[in-house]
Amino acid sequence: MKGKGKKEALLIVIVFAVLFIIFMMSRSLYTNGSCAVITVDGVLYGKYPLSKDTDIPIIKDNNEINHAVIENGTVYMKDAACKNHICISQGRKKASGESIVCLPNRVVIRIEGVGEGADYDVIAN
Amino acid sequence: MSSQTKRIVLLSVSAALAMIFSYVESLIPFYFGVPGMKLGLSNICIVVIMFTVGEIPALFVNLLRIVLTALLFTNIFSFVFSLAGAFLSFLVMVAIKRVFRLSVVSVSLFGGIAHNAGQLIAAAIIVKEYAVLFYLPVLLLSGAATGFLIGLLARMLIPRLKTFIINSGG
Repeated sequence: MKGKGKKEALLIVIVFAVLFIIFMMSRSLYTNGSCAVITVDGVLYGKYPLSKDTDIPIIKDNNEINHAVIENGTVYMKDAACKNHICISQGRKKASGESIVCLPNRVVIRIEGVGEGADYDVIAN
Repeated sequence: MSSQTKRIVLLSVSAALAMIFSYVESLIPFYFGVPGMKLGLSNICIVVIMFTVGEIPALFVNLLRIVLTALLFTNIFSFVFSLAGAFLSFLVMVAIKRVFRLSVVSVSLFGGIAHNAGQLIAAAIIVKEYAVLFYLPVLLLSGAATGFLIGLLARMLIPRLKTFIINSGG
């Protein structure tokens, strides 16, 4: 029985090591994005360069459901009409591939492209 | 009281306890800007039931907890994602327990990983925004860490609670 316990402990250590390596490798793919792409219900709402400070009200059916802000090369959700405000607590995003999602309102802000200070070549969508 | 009634009561109380754990963990800040990251405390109930009563009763407790929590506190989106995570993690946990014959800690560890993976993949498919899979590495790692810790807790609880649970209707 004791041998079995040691094998299992080793397996657990290996699992953590593998996951940690995957995690660290995915971090090295982070590059600063160049624009924020906002979609509502899967439909493109707008593309906004991160280089320019912008205030973006997101309007659906004549109601402002979300409010995004681009500031200092990052984007964040400033206000939202949803209940939990999880989208707001996701904070500021600037790395290519990162996203801010408001599920109840089906609003997605995705960072795309390669911006200033990028270390790696990234093929922009 | 018939043993079937006792069983129903036991599983219902476990589900209620799992809901309380959900609430308690919502009070503890465990947020690193990644949607879906959580402590998963309610899984203690699921895992303990799985190792004292059985796998199907554990699934029942989990489903009951998810349905009630969704009806009372959250929305249809979070309901579907939780369901996806729960089913995937159940399949994985049963496989780890029965096929690979590993202990509670491993079952909970892989269960945690599978739950987060299932939730995120379901979210990506439903919202049709595959960019959220960007968070897969960090969620898998945090799912593993929380699953591991929950597993350690369960390992301490199961021998101590086993007799009580079985006498109460398991």
